[in-house]
Amino acid sequence: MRMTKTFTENDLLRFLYNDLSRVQHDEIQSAVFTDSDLQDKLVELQYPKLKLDNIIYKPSQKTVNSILAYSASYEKESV
Amino acid sequence: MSSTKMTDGQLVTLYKNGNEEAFAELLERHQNRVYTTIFLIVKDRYVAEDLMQEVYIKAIKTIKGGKYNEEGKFLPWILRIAHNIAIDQFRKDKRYPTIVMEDGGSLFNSLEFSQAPIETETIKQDTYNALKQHIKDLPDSQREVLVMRHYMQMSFQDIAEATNVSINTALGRMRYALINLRKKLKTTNNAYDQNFYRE
Repeated sequence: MRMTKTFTENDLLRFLYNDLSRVQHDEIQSAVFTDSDLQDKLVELQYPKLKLDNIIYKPSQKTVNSILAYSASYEKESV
Repeated sequence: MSSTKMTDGQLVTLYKNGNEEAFAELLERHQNRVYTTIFLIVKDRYVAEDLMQEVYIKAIKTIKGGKYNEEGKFLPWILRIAHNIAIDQFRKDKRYPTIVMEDGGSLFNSLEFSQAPIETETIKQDTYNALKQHIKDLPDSQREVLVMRHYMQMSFQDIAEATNVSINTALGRMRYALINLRKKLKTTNNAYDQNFYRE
């Protein structure tokens, strides 16, 4: 009798973040295609992940300029 | 200098040899991710700006001092520096500041959207402002794992080792972080559901 492998929510999380071996990834991908419960659980994790993808903070131009200036002056000091 | 398709490793090599344009390109490529990593940990814009400079000063000294040997893996390297410096500061402070500027405006005004879903501008702005607050409100352990996985793109195994927990604990913290964010986002979205307030 063929055993059906079950996957945990931790497995789904690793799948979502591509944190598995190729074999494990493919196994879960196949399971998700046919298991609506797994699909629902995956969507629940995916929703906030997608929102997080849009959260980006930018440093001020002043900070960027300070860093560039430091690098340029550091180079001169070592010449 | 044409650096459009240069890898980080190539830019570092050029920079080691004195090419400041290469450094400027490296900085521009990754500054937002580095800054976001720092900011989500320390949750204070002024502190994050200072630490950003500290991170890059350390990177500059390492590269120009001939001690850089990451062989092309520049981003993970500098994100580790950023994380370590930010965590040290956070542990030193261990506080959750809510800082309002003199004009009453928020410090958290440098949010940049990328490929946002189609929503009205007001809803989009409020949703992401709410998400920023929700991230801040996460328990420290959950927020740390979230930053390391989502923004620093560390593997869960590396996160587990870095935080001295089992991989299942690291996974659990990340899962609960996402679940908590999802619950709070749903509450925020209900506020804009036309049917929610219909009499």
